[in-house]
Order: sequence, then C-alpha cells, then structure tokens
Amino acid sequence: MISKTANSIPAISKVERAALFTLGIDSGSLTAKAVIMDGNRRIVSHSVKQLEFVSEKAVKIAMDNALAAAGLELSDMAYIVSTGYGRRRFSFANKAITEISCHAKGANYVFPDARTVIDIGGQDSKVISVDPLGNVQNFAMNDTCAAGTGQFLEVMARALGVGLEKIGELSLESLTKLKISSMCTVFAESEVISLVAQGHTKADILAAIHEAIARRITGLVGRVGLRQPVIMTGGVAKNIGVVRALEKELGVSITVPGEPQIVGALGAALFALDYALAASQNQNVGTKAPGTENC
Amino acid sequence: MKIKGSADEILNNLAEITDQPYEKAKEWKKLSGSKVIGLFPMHFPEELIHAARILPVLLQESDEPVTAGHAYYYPFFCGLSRSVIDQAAKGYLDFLDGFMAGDYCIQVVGAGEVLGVLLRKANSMFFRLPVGNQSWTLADITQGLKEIKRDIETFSGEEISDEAIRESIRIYNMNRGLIRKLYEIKSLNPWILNSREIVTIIKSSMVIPKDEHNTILTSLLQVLPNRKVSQKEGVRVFVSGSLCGAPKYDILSMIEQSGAIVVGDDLFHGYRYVSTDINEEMEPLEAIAAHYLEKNKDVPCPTRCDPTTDWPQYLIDSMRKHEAEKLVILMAKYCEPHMFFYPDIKEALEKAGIPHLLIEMEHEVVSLEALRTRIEAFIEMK
Ligand code: SF4
Repeated sequence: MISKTANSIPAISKVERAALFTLGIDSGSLTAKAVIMDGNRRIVSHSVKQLEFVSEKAVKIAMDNALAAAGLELSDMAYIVSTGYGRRRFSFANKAITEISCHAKGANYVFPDARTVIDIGGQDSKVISVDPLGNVQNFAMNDTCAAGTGQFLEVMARALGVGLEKIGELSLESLTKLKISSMCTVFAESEVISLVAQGHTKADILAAIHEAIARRITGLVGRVGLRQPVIMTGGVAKNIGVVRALEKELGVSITVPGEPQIVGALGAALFALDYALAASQNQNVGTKAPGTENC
Repeated sequence: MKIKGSADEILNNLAEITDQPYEKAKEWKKLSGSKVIGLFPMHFPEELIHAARILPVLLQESDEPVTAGHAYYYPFFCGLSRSVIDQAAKGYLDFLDGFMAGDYCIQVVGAGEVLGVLLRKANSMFFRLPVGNQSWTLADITQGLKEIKRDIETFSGEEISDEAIRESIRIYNMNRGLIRKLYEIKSLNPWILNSREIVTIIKSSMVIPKDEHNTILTSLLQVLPNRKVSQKEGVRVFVSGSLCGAPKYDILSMIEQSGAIVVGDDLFHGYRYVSTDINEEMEPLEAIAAHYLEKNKDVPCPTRCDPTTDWPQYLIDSMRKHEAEKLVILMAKYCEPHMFFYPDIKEALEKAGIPHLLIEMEHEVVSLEALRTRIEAFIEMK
C-alpha cells in the first residue's frame, strides 16, 4: 500500500528511507496489534493477537510476530509509538499517542478521502472527523460504558450461542424486525434471552442488536457532524451486520478497509515514521532529535 | 499551622487544610468560642458574616460517594448539592451553628430546604439575591442585604456596625488582591503554580479565617518567585466552568500531564472567586450590592441572568488575553445554569475557531482512563 496523503517526506535519500523502520503498537482492551513500516511509508508487516485480558505478554507476541514476519529485530526500529488503552505501559516505546489521533492518521493512509472515521473497539467507540492530512478536527467518544462495543457483541453472541465471527452474516438473514430497547449490556442480555424464549430466530435477534448499536453510534456521529466519505475501523468493522445497520441508520455507504483492526497501530507507525524522519533530518544538520521523550 | 517556609511547604500545608476542609473551622470555633455559618457557593455576603465575628465557611463538595444523602435528594441534581446534603446526613456538618441558602440556583434552594431538615440545631437563613441588571436591581440587592443583615444580627445577638463591615471588606479585598497577585506571577511564569495548587490556595481561602489566609498568602508571595519549577513547553489552555464545586484534582492533573499548561481560568475555585474587589468608599451594604453587578462584568456568571454581560464573548476575549490555544470546559453534571449556557458558548467558540473540549464532571467518577484519552487526544489535535 502506498499512501497518497499529502504528508511530506523530508529530503533524505530513498535508499536511506527504505532502511528506516518504525513500529506502531496498539494495545487495546481485547486485542494487541503491531504494524511495522519502512521509511517509504510502506507496510512491511503486521500482526493481531487476541488478548485473554490486557497483558503486556500479548502485546509482545503481536510485536514479535510482526518483527519475525519482517525479518527484523526490535533494535532495528528507529522509532516506536504505542497507542490504545494500554499505551503508556511500554517502556520500549519512544512516545505514546492516543488511539483517536492514531485511527485518524491510519484511516487517512488507507482511505485519504475519508472525512469521518467510526472506530468501534473492544471497550469503547469513537467518531472522529478528519481533515485531508489525517489530522483530528473533532471527535466524540462513548466513554461511560461498554454498550455498543466489541465486548457488548461478545456477550450477546455468547447469550445466543453463536460464534462471534458468524453473527454479522447471520444477522443479514433476518426476516422479521425486532427491537432491543436497552443498550445496557446486562439488561440487553436479559432482553435477548427473553426473545429467544419467545421463539424468535437468532438472525432476527442479531439484526435487532446490530440496529441498537447503529442507533447509538448515530448519536455519537450527531455530536461530531456527519461528513462523507465514512470509513469504519476497529474490530467491530469486521461485523457486516453492524456495518449494514449503520449504513441504513446514517443513510450513507461506509468503507471498511481490508484489516480494520490494525488501523490504530498503522497510525502509530506513521507517527513513529514522522518522528524518525524528523530526527534523522535533524541529525543531518546536527541538532537534537525531537520527540524522543517517553510519555 | 506553620505559616513560614518554602513555597512547597506552604502549599503542602494548604493542601492539608483542603483535604479536611472543616477541621480549621472546628478548631477556630473551639478557640474563639464563636459561631460558624456554612454557605453554599457561590453568591453570599461573606463580609457581612465576618463583620458579625462569625466565621463563614463555604461548603465544599467532598470526594465521598453520596450514600446517606441519597434518601434526601434527587440523583439528577448537581454533585455539589448532593454532596453537601450527604455530608449533612452523615453528621459531618454538625459543627455548623447556622447555614445560609439562597435563590440564585434552584438546586441551592432545594438543598437549603433539606439542610433545614438534617441540621435541626443550626439556624437556617436565606439570602434573597435578585437577578438581572435593571435600573432597580442595585436597590433590590441592597434590600436583600439589609434583610440578611437583620437575620445575622438576630442570630448573633449583636448589631453589625458599618465600620465593622468596612473592616471586613478591607480584609476580604486584601485576600482577593493577594490571590490576584499570584495570578499575575503565574501569567509571567505559568509553571510556577499548577492548576491544582491554584485551586488549593483558593479552596483553603474559603474555609479558614481570611486574616489567617492573608498572612499565609503574604509569606507565599515572598518565597514564590524563588520556587524552582521545570518549564516544559506545552499547549496553552484556558479552563472554564466548574461552578460551585472544585474541579476534581485528577482531571486538572490529567490536563497538565497531557502536555498542556493552564494559563487562565474562570473557575469558581479560581479567578471567579477573586476577580473583583468591593468599593471601600461607598456605603457598605450598597458597595456589596454593587459588587454583585461589578464582578459579573469581570467574570460573567450564568446564575446572574444579566443581559448586559456575555459569558461566551468573555471566554473568547480571555482566550486572546491569555494567548490560550484551546479551551477546556468543566461542567458539573446536572448543573442547570451551566448546561443552559453551553449551546451558546459552543456556537460562539466554533464561530471564533476556538477548539474546546467539554468534560461533564460526575460526582462519582466513572471512567478516568477514557477521560484521559479524550483529554490527550484534544491536546494532540493540531
Ligand atoms: S450553579 Fe450548578 S453547581 Fe451550583 S448549585 Fe446550581 S446546579 Fe449546582
């Protein structure tokens, strides 16, 4: 993937840049992601590791997998940026940057025209308004509970006895419209159980769950203002049922990148590259490298 | 209390006072044999109470979750009013000889009623403070002050002389002036006091005798310029809101840890409390009445419903004055006066191209980590 963004690459030779590797790690609440990028803004490798619970071990596995796939060592990395819920835990990272800034930057890389990013992760959801350079212009975040997030879907999938990866497709088979009125994970779970008891199909119940999530995200979008085109990132973007429900609720079409889960780590790797290039340029003119502090 | 020392020592002492905000008042009461009156923030004539040789203490929102108080007040009322009621229900306010409620906010009216039930031994007073700014408002506020003066006199059994009020006004003006001097020093060197320290200084002023606080501030002002602080560049931020209750220290620290420098504020536990002096030459009650109108010109308050002042414009002007790049609005959840003004503030800021972050502060904090992400992302925004 070659970026078409307007982010400038400082004037060091192309060969030098190719040997400049950066790492972005995204330590979320349910998964750890790592992306390695070269100095020409090409993704060298990436890895996703499911977390049992938030652990540094899982982040290390994701990172080691990405390094192994690229045939590189940690010491080859010119700059490392960590992001996500656990972003400040890693002493080896040069800088921690929020997932909001990283998703905006990563989304801009995979889809430079996108002006709204909807990121639904394991434990929270965000709507981000981005400019043509991938800068955050405005954002809203659901930060009070897990309603409408990956964790919410996991609980619902379990209540219905359907594998998480299957619920999206299955919900598209729905024939009868149902309504889940509560978005509280605990109440919604009991609503789901009672719908099962009433004999409704799993497809109908799942479609109702996805619709409930879409309504909630639409509220967040309203706080930021809908600007098209829209891209969806984060693990929940893999659920086609949620994507379709959101498209219907918002009245727009939504682009989902091939690997929606790595967009945050990708943004982190891009930030790392900006810092690494700025540092190597400054070294060339003999000044101190910026951004080498650890947050 | 140790008054002298380094800036750090003085600030630590003040932090100890604000950790247990009523302990000094209890001590004072024991030593002086005098009375203590609890006041709700924000609009009460502390000077009048002081002139009656009674200690006015501004009741503070505590960090404790509301439990016993839950039985007496609605969960959809602001944290400050719920917390004060909870403190009363738990017996923490039994040391009060009296308390004063008022009509500038409906939640204070209701909270005053509930305190009347919970603090049966304390004398209950009510300060009528007319809103607006019409040709008759000054006379109307003066009348309200005469009424409350009479009530305080009945309560203390002593007449309050004009000279005593003037003396109290001088002491209170001195306190405001000294704190404004701290703000002046901070405007030249914003790292010299962080926002948590500023809030602590002002919060302590609200709960201990003002003359004692003046002595402490005088010492602090002597040593403060020598304080060694690291001067890390950051995004210049103005912090607004937090009416009545002090903002949570965690939130203030998060703002600064995320790479911002707080260069100005209009917090009640901040510049709002000290912005304006009372005229020392005028007839004292009229001077206090005029102060309510004057301070609203300096830092507009949404509870004053004054059509001649404009809070959104004040914020835009303050941002320019302090060369602030971003604005953080701290809004107590369910604070109706603030919620009422927010849409206008938002619109004005957007028109002026000023980025802002709204943080709704709940009494019982829910998700600090998510809040940290929001604050950091806001500071990261270009
Ligand atoms: S002004 Fe706001 S914070 Fe103060 S008492 Fe009224 S509702 Fe509560």
